[in-house]
Amino acid sequence: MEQPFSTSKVTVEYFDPHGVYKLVAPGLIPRLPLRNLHWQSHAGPLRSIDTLHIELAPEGSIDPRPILSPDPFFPTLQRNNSTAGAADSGDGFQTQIGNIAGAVAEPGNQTAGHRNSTPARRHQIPGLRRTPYLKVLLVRCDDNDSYKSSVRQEIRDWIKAHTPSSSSSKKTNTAENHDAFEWLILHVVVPNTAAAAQSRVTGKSEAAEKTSAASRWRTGSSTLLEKLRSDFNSSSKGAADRIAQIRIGVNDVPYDILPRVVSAVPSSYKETAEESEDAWNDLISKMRDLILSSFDMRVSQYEEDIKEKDTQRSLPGWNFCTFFILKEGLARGFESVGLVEDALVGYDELSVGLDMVIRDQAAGESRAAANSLLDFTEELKEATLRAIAAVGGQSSDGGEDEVVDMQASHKGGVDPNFTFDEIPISATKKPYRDLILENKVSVLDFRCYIFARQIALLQRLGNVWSSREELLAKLREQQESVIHGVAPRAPPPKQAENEQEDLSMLAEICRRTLEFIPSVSQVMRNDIQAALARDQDTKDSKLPPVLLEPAAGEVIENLVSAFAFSIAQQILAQTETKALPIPPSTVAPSDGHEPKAAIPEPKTMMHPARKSSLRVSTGPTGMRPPPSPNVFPGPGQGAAAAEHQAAKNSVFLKVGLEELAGRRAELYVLARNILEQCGKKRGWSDGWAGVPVVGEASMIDMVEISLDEDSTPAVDVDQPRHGLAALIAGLDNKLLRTALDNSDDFYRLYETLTDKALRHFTVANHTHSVQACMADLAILKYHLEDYAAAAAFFWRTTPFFGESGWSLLELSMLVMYSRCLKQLQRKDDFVKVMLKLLSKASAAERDRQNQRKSLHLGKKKEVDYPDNDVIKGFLGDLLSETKQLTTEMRVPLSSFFSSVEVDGTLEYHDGRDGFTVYLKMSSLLVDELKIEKARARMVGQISGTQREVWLELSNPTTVKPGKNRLKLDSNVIIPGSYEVDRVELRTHNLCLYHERTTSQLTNKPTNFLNAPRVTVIHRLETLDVRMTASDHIQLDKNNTVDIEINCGWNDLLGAEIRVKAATGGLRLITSEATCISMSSESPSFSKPPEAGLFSFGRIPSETAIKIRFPYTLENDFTSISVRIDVSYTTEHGSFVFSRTPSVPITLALGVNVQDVFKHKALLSKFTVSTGSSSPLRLFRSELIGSEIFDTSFGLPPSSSVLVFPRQPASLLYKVKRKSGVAITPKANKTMYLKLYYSVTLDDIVELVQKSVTDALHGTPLQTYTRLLVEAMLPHIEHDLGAFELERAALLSSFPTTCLTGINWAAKLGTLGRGADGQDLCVALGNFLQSWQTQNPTLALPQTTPPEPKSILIPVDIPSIAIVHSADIRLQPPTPASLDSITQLTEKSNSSPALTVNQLTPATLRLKWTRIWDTETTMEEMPDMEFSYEVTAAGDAWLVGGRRKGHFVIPAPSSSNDMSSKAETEADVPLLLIPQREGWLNYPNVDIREIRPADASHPSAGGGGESGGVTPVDGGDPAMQHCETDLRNLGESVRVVPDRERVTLSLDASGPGGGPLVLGVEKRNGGVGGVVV
Amino acid sequence: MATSIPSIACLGVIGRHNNPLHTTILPTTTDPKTGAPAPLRTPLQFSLLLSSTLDVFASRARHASASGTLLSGDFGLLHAVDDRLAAYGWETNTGVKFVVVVDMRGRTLDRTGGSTASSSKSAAAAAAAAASATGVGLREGELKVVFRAMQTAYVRLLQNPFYDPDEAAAGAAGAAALGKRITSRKFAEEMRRIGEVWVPGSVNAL
Repeated sequence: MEQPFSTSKVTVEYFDPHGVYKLVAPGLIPRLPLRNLHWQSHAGPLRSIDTLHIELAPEGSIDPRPILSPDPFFPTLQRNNSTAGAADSGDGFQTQIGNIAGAVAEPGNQTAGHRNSTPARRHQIPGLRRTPYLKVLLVRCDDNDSYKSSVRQEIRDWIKAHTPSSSSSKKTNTAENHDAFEWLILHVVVPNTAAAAQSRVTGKSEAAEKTSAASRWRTGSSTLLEKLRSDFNSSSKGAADRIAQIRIGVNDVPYDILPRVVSAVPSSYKETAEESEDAWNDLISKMRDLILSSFDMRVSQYEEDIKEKDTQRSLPGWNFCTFFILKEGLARGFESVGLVEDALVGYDELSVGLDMVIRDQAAGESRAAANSLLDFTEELKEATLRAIAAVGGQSSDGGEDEVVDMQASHKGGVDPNFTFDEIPISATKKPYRDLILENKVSVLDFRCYIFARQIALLQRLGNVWSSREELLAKLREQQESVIHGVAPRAPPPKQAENEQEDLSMLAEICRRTLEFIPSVSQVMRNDIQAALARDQDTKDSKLPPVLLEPAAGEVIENLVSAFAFSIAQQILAQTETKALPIPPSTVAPSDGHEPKAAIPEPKTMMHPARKSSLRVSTGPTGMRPPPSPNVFPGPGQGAAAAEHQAAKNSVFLKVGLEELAGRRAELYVLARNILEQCGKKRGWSDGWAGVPVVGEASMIDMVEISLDEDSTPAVDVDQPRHGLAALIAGLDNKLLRTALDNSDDFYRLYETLTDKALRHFTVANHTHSVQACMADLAILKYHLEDYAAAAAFFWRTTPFFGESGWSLLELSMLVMYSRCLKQLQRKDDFVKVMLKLLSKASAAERDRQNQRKSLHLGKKKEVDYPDNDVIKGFLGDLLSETKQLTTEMRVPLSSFFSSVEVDGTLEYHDGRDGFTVYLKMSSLLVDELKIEKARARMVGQISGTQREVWLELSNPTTVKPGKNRLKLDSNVIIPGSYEVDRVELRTHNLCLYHERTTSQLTNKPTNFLNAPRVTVIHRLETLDVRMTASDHIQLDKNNTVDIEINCGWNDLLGAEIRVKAATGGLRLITSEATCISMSSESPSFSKPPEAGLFSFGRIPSETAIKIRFPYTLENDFTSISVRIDVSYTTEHGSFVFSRTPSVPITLALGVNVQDVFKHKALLSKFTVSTGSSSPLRLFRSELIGSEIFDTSFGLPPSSSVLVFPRQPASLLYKVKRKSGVAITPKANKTMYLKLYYSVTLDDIVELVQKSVTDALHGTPLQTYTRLLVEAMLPHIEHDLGAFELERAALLSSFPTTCLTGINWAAKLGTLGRGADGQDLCVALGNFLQSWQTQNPTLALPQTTPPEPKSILIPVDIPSIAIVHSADIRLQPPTPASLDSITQLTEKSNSSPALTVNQLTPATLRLKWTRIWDTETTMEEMPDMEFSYEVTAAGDAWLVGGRRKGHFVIPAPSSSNDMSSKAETEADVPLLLIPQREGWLNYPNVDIREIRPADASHPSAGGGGESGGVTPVDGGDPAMQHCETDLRNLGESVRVVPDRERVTLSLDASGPGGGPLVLGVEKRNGGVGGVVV
Repeated sequence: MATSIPSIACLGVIGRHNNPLHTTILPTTTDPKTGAPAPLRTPLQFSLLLSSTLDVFASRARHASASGTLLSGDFGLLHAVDDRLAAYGWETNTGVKFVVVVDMRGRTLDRTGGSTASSSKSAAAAAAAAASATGVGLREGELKVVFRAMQTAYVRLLQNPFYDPDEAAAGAAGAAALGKRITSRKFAEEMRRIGEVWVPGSVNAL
């Protein structure tokens, strides 16, 4: 309500019989407008009116008739007005803003023209008239005399003439109340008159009673003011004071008017400045009060009337028009005092009311003819008929001329009658109110009027620049007219109005317009149609009806379009505001185009440019430097920058700014769409029709669209000439018409409008719409073949739509974008865009396929999608472009292919070693793609290492749309299980790749690459490499491995074998490799083996080569593995075979040896035990003698010996020193034990292998022999435990039951399908099962194999310096009494029998030999001294004689001295007494070496009691050279008691309660006695 | 001359992430050459139009949330495209938007060709249609039935356990993947039916 700058105005009429207005005006006008009015409405809160503009009008200038529109019959008048307000909006539209009020503002001219034609008459229903709210009589009365004589009477007359007969009587004609007014008498006091000399009030400076006296007497002493008051003021209490007085200062009066100084007035009263101000204030407040009071009177009268009419609504004969006029009167009243919102509410209600009326009318319920509105508008009908006539009757030239001469014809008044040009929506355009009053208004006019009024009110509310400007101008004019020449009495009022425009109100205007245009178009269309129909019904048309139909349709369309377009233009112009910052144009004019400024803009030609400080147009000044067409605007530029700018501006963002911008933009779009529709008829497409549509059936449910609309030019040609005229006829909007004049203008306008909209949308932050506009522009540019500009737009918009899922748009735009780029020869971008396009298209295709899959499950229907035709052929373009690129373009394979599937069945080549993997891939492309190269990588974990195999496409293949099979070959045979993890397709510089990331789960269903594990098998016929540990092991040499290469069916032209240790610490000594010929013609190395590389020349097929080389191992491993790569060439190409076999190297058996040295011979006992849990079979053994030693063995066993883990075998060998062989350092002393054996487990493995191979032989599965065997063997090795092996060894047969119950199909991996379509794994599993049932047991071979495994174990004989032999001989005399016993014993063995305590002489014989000293030569052997000691347990023997002693063994002088002889042997006599009976072992003899004490051991040598010698400790390692062979060890002597008879007493009388020995008889008879 | 009344030119369902879920385009005009029914614009233009309405949704929603009004989700007129086409919008509280593009002269109501219009409407609807034909225009409330019907169809779609709305909505969230559209045939047919059946002034549920 509080409008900072109200535009309302009320009229105040002044009567100036004395011509003093010009004196008052300078003081009065600056004090206007009135401010701060407060009005208490009847129904509602207190309304306050900030400012109320007053229009001061001289008497009689006001036409009391109802407000009417400016006369449309005076177009020149309007034109003048419109040109007066010249301004440039810098806009697409420079429509003249409506001087709605402006037209009214010159009532002088207008009424002058009208008075005669339309006499002011009181209508029965009075509308609001522009009658004055206040009438002011300006009185000049210079002195009391003149007052009395003339002035008083004058005033009386005036009052009588102009006021209602009795101002007090309220109950007069209601019509009067509609025009209710108040009056005021203003006494103007001219200086230098008597009146001026008077004070305002008598006796102002004197006593108060004087005043009362004056009033009492009414004498001449009272001032003129008082006289006036008393004469004319109403006597009643509440009546307002209607008298005011203003004194004019001397200086303010022009000289010519200034009366001569009257000398008779000496006591001139001087008015102070304050008093003068008070007087003015008094006047103003009186005016204010009086105006409000008259307004109040009017409003209440109107409201009463309306209420009354409203109640009559249902009565017959109720006329809406009447009601309308009445209600509008109220609204106008509100408006005129600045209560604009109230007015607007009134109009809104009326609008709804109109709708209801129309609805009723349409429903056929119109109750009365009075209520009906006209079906058509007369002017419109005429215009239509004229247009039709122009089409039909005249030649086409006429139509063209009309276009050209538009301006002229208008001026000439040829066609002035009905036009929508300029301001179609204006309340003053037609005498609407008259028409309404006369019930002669059409629906169209009615609606237009209401809308115009609403817009006007909203404009005021919105403080629209246009309406305000015009009012200000008016005000200024008023002031200037006064000011000129005369100094102002009062300073001009400060223009403190808030300049702010209410943007949301402007937005509201736009919003209403947006709703209005469609509806009014409809109304208008109906209007014209009704008119024509009536026309045809009533009278026969002047036009041939044949022509009428099509032409009329066109004309109607044109009229409506032009009308709608004009409305949009008008509103856009009217809502233009400085407060709306519009970013500079983002239309990037390209270099190739002449700047727009060069072309005269139609709009500036047609419309007076409105000046505006806000120039954002694309004109020459505002044009920003065009960006280089070859450079994409960076991402920061363009729309983003504009948005950023907008964001920055939004600091000052006003309320409703965004909304206004958005609405305006929509209006622009609307105007553009109308333009586009018009253009379409002329065949100027905006490009959308020709846009390729990449079909997406899933997205748009399309309905029989035929897309070949871009043949419109052809249609244009075909059309008859009059059709062209028809296209223009009725297009009465100049801008539209000019635009439709030729295609250039059309496109320019289209672009301008779109650009406008775009910029407004940018401000409004409507991103989607911005993009849509850009898309429009892009398409337009594309259509116009301005590819650079189009590309720039496409570049911006395409990703946007792509991101938010509008792929239909995106695809189409990508198509066009790519075409642009192609035209522009921007190859890099072209390729990128093309790739994007194709991948998007493919994605769409994939979606479609998925959908089809889900929808038509089972239904096989191949639908051809013609929509994809647009992108057909692009692939070729792309490829030819990529050919010229320097870098490779890498594109994910998934962009173009829906799925890649690896066929699990490998196809093995016949006759050569390679194999083929089939990739099933379905292409989403619409074109055929020729693939030059294709590769796929298979990766598998094979024997612990990651191996990869590359598969290659053998020859270029064309990939057709849809399903394809790609054949990838590989000549690399690495048996194992693989997965394809990488696929690359290559054509020119384009590389489609797919790479499975390691993190990706392989079993994810959405996985693009569907790659089952494929198993590359090693066929039986192919080249094979096997590695075995060599059968013959020699422990003291490096072990060797054998590599056996079997060519299979390959006729090798050359081969290279590369071996590489795959076990840590393993070192292959390939330089010592030998090639072992298997047959006579076996080839040998073509080159000497290099490090790890063996080369061969030509090798015929079915040849085996064996290479043996030793190795060393740093750490202990149970098995070693060696990677063997064979690359070989055959006539089919080069192949690679690789495998990493692993062989166990643990020894199958263990051997322990025990040596027993004798004087002449050495006994070696070898214990052979198994090295694993598997039993061994020992076939033969031999101990190979050396130079020094000779061996001998007993009888060999008749059959092989089984060695079990818990039952080792013993072998005893006798070793003798070869006589006559001197020991030299070089002499080979080592002997070798050679064992021929076989391990049962190995036997079993071999047996199974052979059995399976035999079983497979000749069957179709033969080729899988190796696979099967390799799958089985681990099972056998693993499953057979010690028990099973032992049993197998014992029973000599192997039960195969352990192989049942294994799911072979799972173990074999994926093999795919065989020739018969059966799964190979299953087939092989079945085979194994049947094999097992046929061979429940396998007999182990019993015969000795021709070449059993052997192991050669070096046997060293330890070097013993001296071997002693100690022999104790008991010497008889055997007592006679023992003879019998002795004889008894001696018969069986030689051991004597002794009696306890028998003194037995014995001899200790000590012998020695040096023959076992194999380390020192004879010359180096020193003298050696030994000690001996005979010890025995004390309870067994008493040893007498020389129990201890020393002896010296001299250094040998000759080889004969190596052993003791009789003279160097020692016999030591001993006396032995056995201490107890039983079998007693011989006493022990301990021989130790004694070392001579050397000087370095003074402590040891000092005072040694044993003659300076110390016995050598046994712990001295350096001297442990001696070994003692105790001959008596293990012998025993039988000792018997020496009693013969013992007598015992059996009672317990013996000592200790034991039996008492009564007597003992000794064996040596006669000695016996009783021992007590 | 035949009077023409509004009819639906395009029905669009737009997802939570401003991704198009479904579009049905109905022919509202005739091909000048063949005379066959044809849509007023190309599908692309309709797409663009639907996309542009999103701004209005956004700004109105912002406005509504600021002022705390607008509970029904009815956005009324979004766009007056030109003097024929106008877009109306409605938003569910899960952010799914329904857009109806109405062709103000989409259907002719004359003596001969009134088959489409007169077949399935009540007398009241006919009256209303006639009224709107005379230029009162389309009131925003008149499209409520359409939106209601669309929502019902959409709810039915959601009740289908095999339709995953999150999948459909994931489009904009996931950077690369395009949003899944509604592929239900039933839904599409329902949309088409709504588009064909509706005449201005229909009060009964479609």
